Amino acid sequence: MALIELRSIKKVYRQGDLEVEVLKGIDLTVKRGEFISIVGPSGSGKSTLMYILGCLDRPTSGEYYLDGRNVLNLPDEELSKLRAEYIGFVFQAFYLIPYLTVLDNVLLPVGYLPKEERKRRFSDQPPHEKAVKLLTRLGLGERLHFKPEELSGGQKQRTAIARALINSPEIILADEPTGQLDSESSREVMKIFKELHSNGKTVIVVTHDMEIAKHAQRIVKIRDGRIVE
Amino acid sequence: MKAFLFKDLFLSLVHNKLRTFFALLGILFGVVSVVLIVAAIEGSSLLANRVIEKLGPDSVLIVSGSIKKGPRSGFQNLTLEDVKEIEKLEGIFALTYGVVKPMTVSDISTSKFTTVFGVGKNWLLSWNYRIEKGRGFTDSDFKDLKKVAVVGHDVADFFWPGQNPVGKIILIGKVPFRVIGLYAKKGKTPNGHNLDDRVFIPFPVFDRLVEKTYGHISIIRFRVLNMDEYNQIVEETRQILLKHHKPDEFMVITPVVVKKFLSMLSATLAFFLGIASTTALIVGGFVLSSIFYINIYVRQWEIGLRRALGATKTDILKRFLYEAALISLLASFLGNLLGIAAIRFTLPLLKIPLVYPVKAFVIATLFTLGVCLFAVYFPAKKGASFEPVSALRRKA
Repeated sequence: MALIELRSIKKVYRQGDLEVEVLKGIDLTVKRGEFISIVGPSGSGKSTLMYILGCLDRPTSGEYYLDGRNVLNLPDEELSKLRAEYIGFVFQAFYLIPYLTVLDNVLLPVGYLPKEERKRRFSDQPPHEKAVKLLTRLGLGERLHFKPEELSGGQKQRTAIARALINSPEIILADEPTGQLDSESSREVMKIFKELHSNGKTVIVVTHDMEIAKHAQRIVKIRDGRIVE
Repeated sequence: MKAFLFKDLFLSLVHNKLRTFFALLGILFGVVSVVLIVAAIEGSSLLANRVIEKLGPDSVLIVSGSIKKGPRSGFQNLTLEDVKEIEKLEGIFALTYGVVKPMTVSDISTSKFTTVFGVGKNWLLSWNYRIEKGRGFTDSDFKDLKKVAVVGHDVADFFWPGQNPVGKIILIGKVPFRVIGLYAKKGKTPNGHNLDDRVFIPFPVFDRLVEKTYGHISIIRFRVLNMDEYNQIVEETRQILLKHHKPDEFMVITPVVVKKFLSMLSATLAFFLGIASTTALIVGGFVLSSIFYINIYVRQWEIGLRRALGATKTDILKRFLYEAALISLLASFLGNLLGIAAIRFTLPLLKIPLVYPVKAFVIATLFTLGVCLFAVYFPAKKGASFEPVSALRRKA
């Protein structure tokens, strides 16, 4: 069974009287453990697609099955729960909380996991220990108590990746993860994604950069709200 | 997890220093005024109780003067005839009477302005003056018109510092009196009269040798045996006095009257302070609310991020309410400290005894918490309802 299944997903934004159809019927299937990239120019609807995939936004029509569950009509609370359990977000602008240390930023999502799930997922390793391990693996072992402003772009994004991994979600959703990084840091970050993929994670990277997209196993091209390839 | 939540909250308050500071400032004065008002009310009821305690809860005091013009203990509107008639009432004891005259007393070398009382037989007993040295008055002091005086510590210490005053001679007017007794220190009355600066002499002697009164007196006092009959006896007394006096010539002071008068004062005080503190807290609440409205927009991306990481709307709402609660508790802490200072400075000015009631701090803290949670609820609700996607796009 596919992990993610989208069927004729449409998204219409209303701006005053004007209706803009951003997604015009997307069909997409992502298998468990796949590494795909979604490529398209700005305004193609790829970010909207990513937010819908991440249960952060709702499509206007269509069907979305995540791990076999129809998520379309789920109440808000349930969607939050799904995000905490299934999805790790990585953003272009990092979104690290400025007053928390690297370590605390990574620990932030733990509190949003439902209690039972938290017990289950951290039964063999408490969150703190796991965060330290993740950060060490990502080369930030020396920077645990730094504030985000004291980090380079690459380090910030690696912190954000650790944050996305702390709850052990199945899916890593990255929106232009290299958009604010130099080429060396970009290569590093993509290397991490490849590793995650080889460790069994499902990785979805959204980008406008074909070079970045090429790192993935499968490339989905999107233009004007439609998948073209 | 709780520790992490607290750290997260606390650090965000520290990070938004300016916001926290203004929010604190906004509600601080509200806290202080609530502390002050509760302390003032507590203090005045304490004052009332002290007055009643000094007066004796079972006592009835009749003084010259009227409610309208106030008690005039210097007037001598009452007479010995009144005393004789009141004496016939059943169920009373410790009936006594007196006249008061502020005047100069002297010995050979110095003189002192004090208050001289010409008193009836039971006076010292009835008012709980305890003899410390020497003796009180006896029947023969009255019968034989003995020129004897019982004095307070302030008088004794003025004329004969460090010596036993018993047996000494003082001049009241031009008449020499022998001091037969010294009464134990009584301190001040709650409204500031010095009870230790007094000289007592038998009424007949006062009438004969100090000032002719023609049987007129200023004060009558007695106590009631059975409190159930208290109101009835007070009414009977009033009827007796009305036979010979106009209603505005005398005033019957009972603990109830005292309490009524003092609680009227404290109610007025509470009313004005109440308006002030409510206004202060409402303004503080508005400030807090506005600050949080600005804050949720500034931190919109943070809300979006937390939502993306799995936070529910309720999580976001709670978070802002926790922030408000933390600010409110911090303000309460500082406000209570300032409140203690305010009590120290303000209550003496209002002649209210100093009290630091725990009640005041508890009420101020809870009231402030309530106002803060209410004020922040609306912006918090707004912040929680942000669409995560558009919130995320507003990275500051």
